[in-house]
Amino acid sequence: MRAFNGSLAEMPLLSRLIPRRVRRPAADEAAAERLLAGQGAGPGASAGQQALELLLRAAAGPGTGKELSGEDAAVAAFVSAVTASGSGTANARARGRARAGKRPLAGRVPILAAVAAMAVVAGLSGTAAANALPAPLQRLAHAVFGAPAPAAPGRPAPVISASPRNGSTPSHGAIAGHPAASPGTAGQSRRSSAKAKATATPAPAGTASPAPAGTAGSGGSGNGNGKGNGNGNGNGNGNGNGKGNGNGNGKGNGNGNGNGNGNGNGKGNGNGNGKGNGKGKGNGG
Amino acid sequence: MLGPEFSDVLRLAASGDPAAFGALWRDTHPSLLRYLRLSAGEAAEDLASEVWLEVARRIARFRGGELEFRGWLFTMARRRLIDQHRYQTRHPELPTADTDRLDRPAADDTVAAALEGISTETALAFIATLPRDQAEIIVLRVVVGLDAAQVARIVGKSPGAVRVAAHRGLRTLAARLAGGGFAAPDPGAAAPLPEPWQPAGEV
Repeated sequence: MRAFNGSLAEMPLLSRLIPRRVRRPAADEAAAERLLAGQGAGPGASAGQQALELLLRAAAGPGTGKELSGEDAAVAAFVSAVTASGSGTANARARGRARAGKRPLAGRVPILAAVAAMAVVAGLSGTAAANALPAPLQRLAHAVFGAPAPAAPGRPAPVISASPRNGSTPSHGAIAGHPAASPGTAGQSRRSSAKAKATATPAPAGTASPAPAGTAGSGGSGNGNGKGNGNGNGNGNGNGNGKGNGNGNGKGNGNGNGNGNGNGNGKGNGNGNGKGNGKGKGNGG
Repeated sequence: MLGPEFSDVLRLAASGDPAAFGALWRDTHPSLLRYLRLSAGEAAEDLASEVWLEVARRIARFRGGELEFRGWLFTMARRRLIDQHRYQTRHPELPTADTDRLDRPAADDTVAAALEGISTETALAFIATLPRDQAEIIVLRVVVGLDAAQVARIVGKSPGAVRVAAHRGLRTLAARLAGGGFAAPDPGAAAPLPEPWQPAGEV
């Protein structure tokens, strides 16, 4: 059996487990870095490192006459290349400008960006004026340039006060603030009743066109305004207009138009808009 | 290295001044030639000419300092080497004599010269006996004067891998110098060069 001589080479497994840095002192790496950086092996270097330094210094020596013999040819090639292709700085800039001029959109990007930005702003403004933006954006638009404010969830619709037109008397069944009571429209009235608590004054009897059930006349009109909802109410007047206007205006205006029809708006939007409108009461007629 | 005057020389060369270009050429061409000879042998002169022609065409667009310029130049050189290697792979030439060996000094001569003060050519021939990646990294660091990060960018490795390869190469050289052995070229010496990273010097 051979005696163990204490070398790590005798214990391959242990040799693998010991980190390399332990086996190779960091001083060697530092010396190697100095040699690679051309700083010499440093004081106290071993003979091997000094020989290595000589070798590397020789490899990095100044250019020999043979190596530098082609300078004239290289410079001539440079001059011809500059002349032929115009690779000087000024020429390069000129080429750059020429290339930029050839690009179809070169130099027009700022203009296009400005036009696009204006289109976006105009679109957003129009949408805000129509009260069609999401609530947060609509609130912002309202604060910035006075666009219609969005309706708060659950907020009751504005009062719709329908006043008689042409001095005609209100229909007898109209009760301010009460929903329509006609059987045929009850369902719709419930559905939209949360929106409008209008204090509608009855529509003028003269103008009310008969409701489909034939009973509409007075009762119908009264309810129609009051609730703002109901088609059913649709009472002669209200309905015809209410729908037509309600929708159309509900978005844009909110006001004036909605009138008469308080209903129309109340339905279409359910929002603040409709509300303001009831006023006009075109219905009464 | 040109040092502080490099920026002025570069500016003049970029504007087409032949004298400034000549200064750049004198400063860099020897190391370029030595680097190319590692892999291309006698074709190094032709490859160097192509590299300088490319420099002449593109120098007006280069931005950076002296180290960046060298990194840019040697990145182009390395691409030329890769192209040449691909060409030779497709069009192999079978020499009738081992001319590579004829160009190299004998082992005993190299070791002796290393201890006395050797010529540049002999020292490079000795370094060229290392595996190609190690020899390339040592030449780029020692002859060209680049740091590990620059070399890493050129050869497409991490700086840590560059340091490891350089240290291994130096250990091998030291061992060969001490042992007096001038080993035959490593089989890895014929391996193709890995693809470099994208050059960072040109704008």
